[in-house]
Amino acid sequence: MKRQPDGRQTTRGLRDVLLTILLLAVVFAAWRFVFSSAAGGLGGPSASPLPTATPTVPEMLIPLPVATANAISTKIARQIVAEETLRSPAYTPDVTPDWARLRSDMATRAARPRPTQALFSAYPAQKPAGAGWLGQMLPMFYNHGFGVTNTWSEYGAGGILETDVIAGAYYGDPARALPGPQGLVVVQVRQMDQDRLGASMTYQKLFLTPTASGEVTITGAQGERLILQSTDGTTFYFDLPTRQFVPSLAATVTAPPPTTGPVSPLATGTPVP
Amino acid sequence: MHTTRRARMRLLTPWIALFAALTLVTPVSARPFMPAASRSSAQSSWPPRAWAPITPNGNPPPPIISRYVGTTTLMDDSAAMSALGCSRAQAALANQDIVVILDFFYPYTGGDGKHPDDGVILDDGSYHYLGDVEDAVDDFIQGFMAPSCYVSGSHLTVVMGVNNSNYQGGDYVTEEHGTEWAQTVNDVLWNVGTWGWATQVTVWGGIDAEMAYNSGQATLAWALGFSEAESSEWYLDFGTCEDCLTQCTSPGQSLASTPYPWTCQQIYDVARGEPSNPTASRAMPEIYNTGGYNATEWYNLSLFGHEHYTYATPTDPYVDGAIRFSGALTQWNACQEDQGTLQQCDPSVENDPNTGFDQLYSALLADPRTDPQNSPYPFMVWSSDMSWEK
Repeated sequence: MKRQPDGRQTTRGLRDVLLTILLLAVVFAAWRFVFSSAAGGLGGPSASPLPTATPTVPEMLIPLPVATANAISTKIARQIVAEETLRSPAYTPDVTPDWARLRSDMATRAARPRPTQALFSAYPAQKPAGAGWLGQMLPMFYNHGFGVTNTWSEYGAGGILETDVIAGAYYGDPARALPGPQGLVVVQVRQMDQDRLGASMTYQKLFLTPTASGEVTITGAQGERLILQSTDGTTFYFDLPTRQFVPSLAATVTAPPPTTGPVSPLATGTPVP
Repeated sequence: MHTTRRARMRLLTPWIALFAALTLVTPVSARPFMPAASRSSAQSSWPPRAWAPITPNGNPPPPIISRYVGTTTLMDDSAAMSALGCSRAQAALANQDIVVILDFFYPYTGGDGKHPDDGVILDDGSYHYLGDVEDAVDDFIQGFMAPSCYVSGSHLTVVMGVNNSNYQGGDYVTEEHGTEWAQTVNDVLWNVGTWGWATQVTVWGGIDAEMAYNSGQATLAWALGFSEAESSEWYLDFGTCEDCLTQCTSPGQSLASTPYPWTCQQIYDVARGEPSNPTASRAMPEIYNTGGYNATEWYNLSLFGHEHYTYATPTDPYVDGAIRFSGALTQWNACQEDQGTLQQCDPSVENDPNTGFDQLYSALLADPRTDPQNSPYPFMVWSSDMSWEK
């Protein structure tokens, strides 16, 4: 039987041509893939040896000297390796804990006497005002419910006691720490332990300004009577011995002085009409 | 043999063709490590991919409680600090990677004659030199690693934190303090190494950088000092971005709602890394607001970074200026502890840890420009909640 003209050979020839085209396509694709990702993702029309900022904000590119950039790169590489090591599935210790060394270090530390605390006194940046000092500190709690403008502190009993009056306002917008209309002061007393190894708070109370006139700042003092200025221009006076707002610097108040004792709840003070 | 090879070729041909076709049609912008220049084309792929699971079951990482170290009574009590470390170890799951922030309050820079050396001033007004801080963190770590406490395979990053407030108006938040703080972190790390726990415990610095506490210039100086210290470790910014509901549009833009001057670039640099060493920081911000405002603020700041900065280095392919978030911080426990003392926490700032984490995570991933899907750095791996007592 005569063989048919070799159609299979023709098909094979076509297939070879197609395969060649495909192989060329694969080579081109691989070249493009390697160029675009392995070389730092720099594919596209404006490839350059270094990653660059978007052309719309060229002025924002931080220029780095090559030496600095290399140093940073080395550090990055080291940190990535460190992080990857730490975050591997199991943190297998590669060193045996040195309990003897640990015990020795602890014994050394235990033998060290605990330092006594410095007595309370004014800091150099504080400014004298009446019987105390104007300064800055955060409230004794981070509630983010109110902001602080400044503080007034008095140091008594030979530095064993510190009384702080913290002025500010409730936030009108807690998310943005923007003061609202309600001004306030917080009075807190800190007392040094008898052995002067530490201190503790023995009194803490919050007082609202008689009117919601905005954030208040302590601007001065006469003795233990504080002068506060609100953002709308209202002046308030706070009498520390009786712990209440009073109408004026000269006003006489008859309320008995509060006694210090255990930490009292941070209750809202009753303003004097 | 010849037939077999041809058969193989027949099988392979369609796959080769498919690969070639797919490779040719896939846009470059969809590939990893794309530069900022090609990001705009990626934005056309909005909405972004679904969330990657945070943990194998898709939930936020179990929160670990961080602690205000506010009193000498706690800080100088070796047993109490060890007990604290032990409790954190016992709260960790096997193989869990956790973070604990120990907040030592105010930095103090010596030289004004008030106290002898650089150190901290705690919430009770007491001054401690840096050696005291080192001892306290050592105690904490020893408690964590005590054989009766340590949970197999867990890893602790302990963050030695201060805030950025100048106590009593002094000039104490300084470059010098940042450098000394980095050195103290290194000292603790050295101790950890000598005790053989380098693979279980890492030590970072940290700063509660708040715009309402101090100026951007002073805060950035501290960050610079920390970053430039020899063999400096990383610091964690666990602060706030109070005025970042206002979208930053230029680096020099002033954020003026707080009493202290800040620019967009300054708040960004503190969080993303001081420019001289942009790899030195991570952020784990306070996400307190129940309405999600804090998450939005940090999303805004990260977006600002993405849009305006790139860190061109010869070998690091990840040049995006978006902030590198390690997690979210809340204060739910602290607020519950304060309930007996009236209005300690505004109800609007009492996010629980999972909600806080969720808010930040979803805000960042909802936009491909702040979704660090290509980052080689661990992203949002921690959740922590502040406490005064636990």
